[in-house]
Amino acid sequence: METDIELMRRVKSGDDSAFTELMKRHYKSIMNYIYRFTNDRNDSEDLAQEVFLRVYRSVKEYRPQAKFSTWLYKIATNVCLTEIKVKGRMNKVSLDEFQENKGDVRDSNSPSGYDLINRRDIRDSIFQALNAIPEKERTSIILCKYEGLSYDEVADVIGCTVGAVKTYIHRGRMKLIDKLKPILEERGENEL
Amino acid sequence: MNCENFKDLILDYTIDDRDKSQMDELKVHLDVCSECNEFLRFANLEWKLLDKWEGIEPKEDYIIKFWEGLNHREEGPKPWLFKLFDYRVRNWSYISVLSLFLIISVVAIVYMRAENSVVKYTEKDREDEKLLFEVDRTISFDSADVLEIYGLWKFDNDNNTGG
Repeated sequence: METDIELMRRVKSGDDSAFTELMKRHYKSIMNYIYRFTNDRNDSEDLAQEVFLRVYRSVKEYRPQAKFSTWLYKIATNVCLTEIKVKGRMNKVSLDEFQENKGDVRDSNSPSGYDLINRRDIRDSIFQALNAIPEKERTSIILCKYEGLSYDEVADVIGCTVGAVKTYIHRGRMKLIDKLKPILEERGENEL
Repeated sequence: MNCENFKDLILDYTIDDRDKSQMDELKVHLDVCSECNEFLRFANLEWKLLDKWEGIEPKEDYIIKFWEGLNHREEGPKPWLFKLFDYRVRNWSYISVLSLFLIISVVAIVYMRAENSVVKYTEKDREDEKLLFEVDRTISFDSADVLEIYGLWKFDNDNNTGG
């Protein structure tokens, strides 16, 4: 089987079928990576298309210094974070709503832990908790947990040292534990 | 090591990133520290909870959509009139409104032309026509007699004038 780099060389020489092969290999993981940032299937689909469009257009600039997937995640991260910032500016009402929701999740003294689970499913709670932590912590956790990247690869994607990645993941998880405590207490080991 | 350091180790432990020598130390600490025990429980639960957020499957036509999208972007923007007839335009209301406008315009033009071509012959027209005939007949009968009042035609050689 051809490596990603070999396929990229073929794309560079004008072979579009090689790019289709690259899409088959990586599209699903990139779309799911974006999905952890957006929690919206349609947005994830559109942004994944945008990521591959950028990759296709910058094929000529591609230098096989790092893994292809790392380069891909780097582009996807930029596209996602830019989109989130633009949407955040455009949709201030949603942000206010989000801040209220964030309070619900974080407040471990709230008696509404059980109600919370009934009101909102786990997916939304995790998304909101992740959304409430700093960008680099969120990105590191998503790459490590959902995409299965090693600390080295995460460091390449976000452009920092392995030590920094560990710190981001530790800090982020501490915050997640705090924010998700009502659900964790309610669900316990039996349900998880 | 204090509890904060052990909490870092606990987080590593739950991700399976373990340093064996430190893990032994952690086990000893957990036997005596209820706070870290509690933290270990929540860290495990949190890492498991994240797994509950399942991924999604891409739609089947994602590759076709990509190449179509690429071609569409490379074509560049079309003039607005062409966009109305673009097959990608999902909003058929534009085309419906345009068609309706064209139909109404054609019907209006045909109706106006038809109205102009119909001449209504009224009673007043009939009277005017009679009057015109009478005037014409009068002029025809009188013209020869009227000329007689001027007398016979004389030609004056000196003045070169008639009358």
